[in-house]
Amino acid sequence: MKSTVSDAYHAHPMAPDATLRCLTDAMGSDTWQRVLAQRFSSPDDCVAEIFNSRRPGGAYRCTRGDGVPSGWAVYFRFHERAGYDGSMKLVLHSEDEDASSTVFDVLSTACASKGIEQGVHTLISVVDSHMQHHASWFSDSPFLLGGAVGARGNSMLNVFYRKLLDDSAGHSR
Amino acid sequence: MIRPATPDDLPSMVETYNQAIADKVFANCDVPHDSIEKFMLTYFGKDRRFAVLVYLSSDGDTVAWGALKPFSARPDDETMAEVAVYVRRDMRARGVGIRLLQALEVSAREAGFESVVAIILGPNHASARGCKSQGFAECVRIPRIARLENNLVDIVWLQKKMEGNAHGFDR
Repeated sequence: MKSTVSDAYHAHPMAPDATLRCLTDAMGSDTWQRVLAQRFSSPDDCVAEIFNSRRPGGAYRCTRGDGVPSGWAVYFRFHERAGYDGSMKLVLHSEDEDASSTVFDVLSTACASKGIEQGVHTLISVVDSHMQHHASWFSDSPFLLGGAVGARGNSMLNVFYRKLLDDSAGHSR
Repeated sequence: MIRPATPDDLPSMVETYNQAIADKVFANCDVPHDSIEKFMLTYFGKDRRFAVLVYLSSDGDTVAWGALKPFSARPDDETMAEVAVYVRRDMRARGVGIRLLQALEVSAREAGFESVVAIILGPNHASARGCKSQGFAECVRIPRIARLENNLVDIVWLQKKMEGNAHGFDR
């Protein structure tokens, strides 16, 4: 049963030094190459943004019940422009391919909970269709699909978002 | 007349950009820029495939500008460019933006891009209409994520494919 499997995995907040190690170890992965490297020139730059004291952000590690690390997640401001202060980009990374769905469940839930505490109203992920585990998980997750654009090599960049706060008052389209 | 921009155009480019923010025409959710240095780095320190064009009035004033730049969601994707156009307040609604957009599309085709993407705020109906009139299609809408004063507004991505440009340049 899914709940039993999920219970065997736990998310723990990460400090900057642990986050830096995770990002550095992942530099050869799609998570770094296709996602984080699109925004940051180095893991240090990424850590500086995640832990920027002037705005929300955070990092979580997922471990199995026996303590084995199985993935991590980071979130940080979606775009540098001032108006994106409550919109965060969420990046999920699994080190356990067979359990990636569970790992993503645990990590995204942790990031959403912390994000709500920080006043984050939206989590956003731009998912390359070539990252099949991610694309599959997001399609069956609490995230909604905002649409997709065509990109290099017949891939699609799918944009998923999840609203965390009731922002119905005073909004305008 | 439309010509490639030079660093001498930067002061008027920044002024036009700041006008769009001050006038609350939903150009973007940025704050006004108080220096030209960032514009210099963004538009004149990069790959020459990304055109920066200015529109000159009959008396030679720079009244609008537009640019291609790496697509912000995937800047390493050499098949895509992001496009933006800004028009001085007294020259809006006269077709200037459309002519710049058309010129930028020509530049994008010549540079081998396979598509261009415009990212606009949801309430910016004028820009959306202009892009759609040139063949852009709305592909992505993220509801209420950009704050303008006390309102959260949608972000919309519109994409135009450059038909026939697939593999149009040496990778």
